[in-house]
Amino acid sequence: MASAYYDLDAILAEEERVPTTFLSDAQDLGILDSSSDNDDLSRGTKAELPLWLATTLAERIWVKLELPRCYQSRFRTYLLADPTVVALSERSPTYYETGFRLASFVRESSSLCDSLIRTLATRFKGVIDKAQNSRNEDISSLTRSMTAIERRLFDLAHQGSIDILLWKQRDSERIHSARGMKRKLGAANAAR
Amino acid sequence: MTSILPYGAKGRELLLELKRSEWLPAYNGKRQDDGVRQVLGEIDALYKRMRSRMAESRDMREPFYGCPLMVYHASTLRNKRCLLAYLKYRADLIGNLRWDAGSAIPEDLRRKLCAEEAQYFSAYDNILSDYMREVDLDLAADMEPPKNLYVEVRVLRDCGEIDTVSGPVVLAKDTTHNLRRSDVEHLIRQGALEQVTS
Repeated sequence: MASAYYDLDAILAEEERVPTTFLSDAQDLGILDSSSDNDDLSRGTKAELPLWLATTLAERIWVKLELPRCYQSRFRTYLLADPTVVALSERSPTYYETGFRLASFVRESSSLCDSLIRTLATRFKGVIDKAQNSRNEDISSLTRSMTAIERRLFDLAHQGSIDILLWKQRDSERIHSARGMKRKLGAANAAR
Repeated sequence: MTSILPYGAKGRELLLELKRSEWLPAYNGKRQDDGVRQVLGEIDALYKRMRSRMAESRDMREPFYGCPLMVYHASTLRNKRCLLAYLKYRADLIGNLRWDAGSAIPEDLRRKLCAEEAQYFSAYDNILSDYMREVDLDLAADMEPPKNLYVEVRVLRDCGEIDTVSGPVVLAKDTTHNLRRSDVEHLIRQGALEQVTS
């Protein structure tokens, strides 16, 4: 897990907002409750906290976590009916990562993990299929509904199929300009 | 109803900017608004709040007192993680640039680095160049095995006169040349030339 410390996606996955209930009064945290002017927060207040903060407090049983709507059993039933048609990226770009983090803090943990795995397994086939059969196509409409990790799989498979094609055409020895340089040059030419 | 704690928002913004950018965004966030310093300032403020609450010496095992401290503490660690990840991501890409574009940073990319990052680049470049001189081999050349000693190139921007094995050549914009691969590879990587494939 040491390398995940620096991983941008891992960090951003913990930004997901989670509904929580405070199990005790808390000094200074009154700003979380905009309906009262008190400096302190009273017990039973509901607040949405980012996952990184919610888990820290939940470990000490100072707040109770609830599942965001897109992880509740109702949504999961709907999702499992046909996982491939749901635009998961709209729910959360880090749907799976966030889901697994949440799982250790709620009672229905095994059914949540189970449905996450089944969802990914079903969608995975579609991701690879699209990636390998979409050369020379506009891929933005294909990838729009994918979460970050699906997108990464897609990019790998897509690049792989392009590389094979280039190799077949003996184009792989061509020298390419460094990342970040090409487009700026194109833009500069267009401006002229 | 609920509102949101303000902690950690700026750090998140810095990371999102990295992800959106094609190479690297300018150091310190968009429009140079000193994003890194803002996060450091937040850490400082959190630390001061923690110190003043600790000085009251209450029983921190009481959730009433412990809860806010945990929030400050977690927010501090979070900010630290965001900043370290921000710097590491940038340092990694700056290191890669040495392999891609040679020992000079292209001007439009240099503008995005802060002074320390430019320094890091040249220090990294020095180590690598020293090593390559010692083993007498340009490790950054021929990153992929070449099939041909010569390449046909089109000039995308004026490069002036360069020295090649077969004498000096003037690279004027929009001309094409058939040159030794080793003479022009670095120019292609920098985007000054484009390889033409027949």
